[in-house]
Amino acid sequence: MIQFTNISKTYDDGHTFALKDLNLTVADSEFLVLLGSSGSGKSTTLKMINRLIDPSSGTIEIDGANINGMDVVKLRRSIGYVFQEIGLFPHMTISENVAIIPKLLGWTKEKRSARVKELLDIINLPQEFAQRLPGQLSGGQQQRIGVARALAADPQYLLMDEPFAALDAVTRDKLQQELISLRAHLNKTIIFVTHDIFEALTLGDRIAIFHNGVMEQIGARQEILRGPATDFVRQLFARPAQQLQDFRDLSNE
Amino acid sequence: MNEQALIPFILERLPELAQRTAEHLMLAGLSTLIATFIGLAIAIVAFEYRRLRDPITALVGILQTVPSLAMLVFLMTILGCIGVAPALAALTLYALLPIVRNTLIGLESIPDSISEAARGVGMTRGQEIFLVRLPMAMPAVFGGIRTAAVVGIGIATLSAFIGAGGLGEFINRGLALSNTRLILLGAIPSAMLAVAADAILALAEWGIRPLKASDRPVSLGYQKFRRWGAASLPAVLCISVLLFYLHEHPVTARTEVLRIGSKHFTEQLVLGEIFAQLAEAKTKLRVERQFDLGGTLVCHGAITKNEIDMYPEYTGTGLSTVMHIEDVRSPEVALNTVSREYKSRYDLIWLAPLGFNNSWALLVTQKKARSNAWANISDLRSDAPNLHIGLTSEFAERLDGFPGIKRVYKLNFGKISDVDTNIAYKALAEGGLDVAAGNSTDGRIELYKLKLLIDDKHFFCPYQAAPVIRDDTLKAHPELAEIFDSLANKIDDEEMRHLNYLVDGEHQSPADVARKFLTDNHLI
Repeated sequence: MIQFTNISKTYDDGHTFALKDLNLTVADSEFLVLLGSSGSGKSTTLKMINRLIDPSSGTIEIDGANINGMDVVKLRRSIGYVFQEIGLFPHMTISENVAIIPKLLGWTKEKRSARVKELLDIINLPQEFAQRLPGQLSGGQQQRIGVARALAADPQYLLMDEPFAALDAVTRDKLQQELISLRAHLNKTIIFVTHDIFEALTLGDRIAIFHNGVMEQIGARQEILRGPATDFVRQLFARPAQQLQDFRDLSNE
Repeated sequence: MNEQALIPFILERLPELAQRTAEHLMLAGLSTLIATFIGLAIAIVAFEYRRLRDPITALVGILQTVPSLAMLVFLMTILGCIGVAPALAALTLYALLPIVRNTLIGLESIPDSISEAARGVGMTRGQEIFLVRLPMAMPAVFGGIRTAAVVGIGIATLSAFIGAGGLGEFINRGLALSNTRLILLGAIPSAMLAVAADAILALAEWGIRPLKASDRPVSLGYQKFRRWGAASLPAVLCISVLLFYLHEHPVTARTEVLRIGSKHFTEQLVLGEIFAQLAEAKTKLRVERQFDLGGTLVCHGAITKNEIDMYPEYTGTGLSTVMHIEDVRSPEVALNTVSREYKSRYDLIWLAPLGFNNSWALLVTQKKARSNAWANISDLRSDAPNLHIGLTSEFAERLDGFPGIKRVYKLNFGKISDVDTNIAYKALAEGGLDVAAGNSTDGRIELYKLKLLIDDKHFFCPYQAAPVIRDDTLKAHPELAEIFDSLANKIDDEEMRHLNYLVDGEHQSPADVARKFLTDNHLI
């Protein structure tokens, strides 16, 4: 369980807020999507969990322990993180990339290569990719490796920062489906940041909507669609709903 | 001119060429290697401590702007010795700039997404640098090493000035002897080495580059082979050059060696050879030639620091340049003074003078001397306002040079030009100058048919040549005194001019000229 209590982030001593007074609880095994446009505070929220960004005020607890009291390196190694720009190390082979956290944790070579094998199977990539370099792979394949790297040390929590944003629509759809099936047999708590409403609706058990540093609403998909809490949320969903209606009308003509 | 044909010229020098090449590569290679480690460390410190970045890069940049020769001589003074150590130190300092700068740029130019990922997966700061930033900066680092190696091979040619050997040895000798071929024998291989080193490092750089999507997929084994093979290529070469160098420079017992030095002009090379061949003929000592040392202060530094055992020196130079004693006009007083002072100050012994006096001199052409009836310097007085004189800048400045001559002889020359010695002699012969300042034993006096005007007022300080030797060397080998005293008064001004002429004018090698002199005079 991850608990945000009164979290704010300001870069100019309280004149403007990247994030304001956030209270949020992420339940175990939940798939939570943080939805919003750029500058809404959703990525800031995510990065605070493994302390890539520190809050100006408030506390974050993971399983009851304040993360400020933890060793930052240990904390990060215990959390899986999938980066928006993939962030594979270009000079390391796929195998070395996937096994980076196990290596930092001091796993033996045998244990690491067994784990890499297992993960390549899980993300549906052929074993011979292990010895290639990231530059030799397509964008979609690279981000599958990014997911495998995040899962390598079998973390309880998986943070995903717009992981599919840079991919083409077909690949994105495919990876979304794979993530859903992955989740089905991996019991992880996933926090997923996106600006794509359909992606949020496809993946999230719950969706938290951010706007100008404020969390406007959090709830299950149906709750939000049926009962938008603010005008912003209503408008956010109204436009795609209208587009869908137009699409349906068009195909019924 | 009886120049040797090209092929024998090169063949004769092949063994030395190999030795000099090994020395050269050792100097450039080892200094680049040392600079790589130091440079990486400096770059990482500058990267980690942002406030140090600008001061460090500025400092390393300033090092680069110090003229090479000044740097060599400066380090020679600081380290207190001649030879390989100061040369390596100077080359290392020069190699730092490209390596530090490139490494720093490489470390800094990692995309934010990668550094965020490094932190995000839980790397410490050190792990981020050594596992991610530094490996990714490798192409830039290698670029820096390449530049450093190529520049190093170029600058290493100057190391010969302080007795570190290398291909510069040929260049120095060629410059001293005005022998273009010798200069090229040093310059061309050195340029070729630079090109080869660049190519080898380029190959290494290619080998360690990560593969891209556009590359043909290759097996892991080949990839590893390529990486390690390419990266170890420069290392393997460095090691083999070092081994060859050590093979060529075996560490032998000091006592069995007589190290003879010389400055880097013709007369000194001839005298050095005469000393060396005499010692080789009359003793069982192995003679080590440390010729072409930069100048008086380099030679003096070398002999007092026990880097060489002996070298030819001039009384006037010992007085003025080494001990700053001016205005000694009597040859006897000069010799007595240097003998006494060298012994008490430096534990050096002046052996018997060779006979000639290489002092400053005013020169005219034999033709003009005849037609104007010039024999003494005083004879110039009435003609001086119509005459054009050429001086080296040193002669023009020194009180025992032109200012003194002007005063003592009351000469007012019509036109005075600052010219290089080499040009002065030629200009004089061709009529561009009427009078030139030079040295009394210069071989070009004979070559250009010049006349030396007699210093009838005994203004010029005496510069008698004699072997200077370390006292402890003489104590270890007392027989050396007698051997070198056999040269006493064997070379007068005329003879020395002629020996110099044989080298400068007829392009014979100093070794040949020395051998002929020794055998003709039944000294060996």
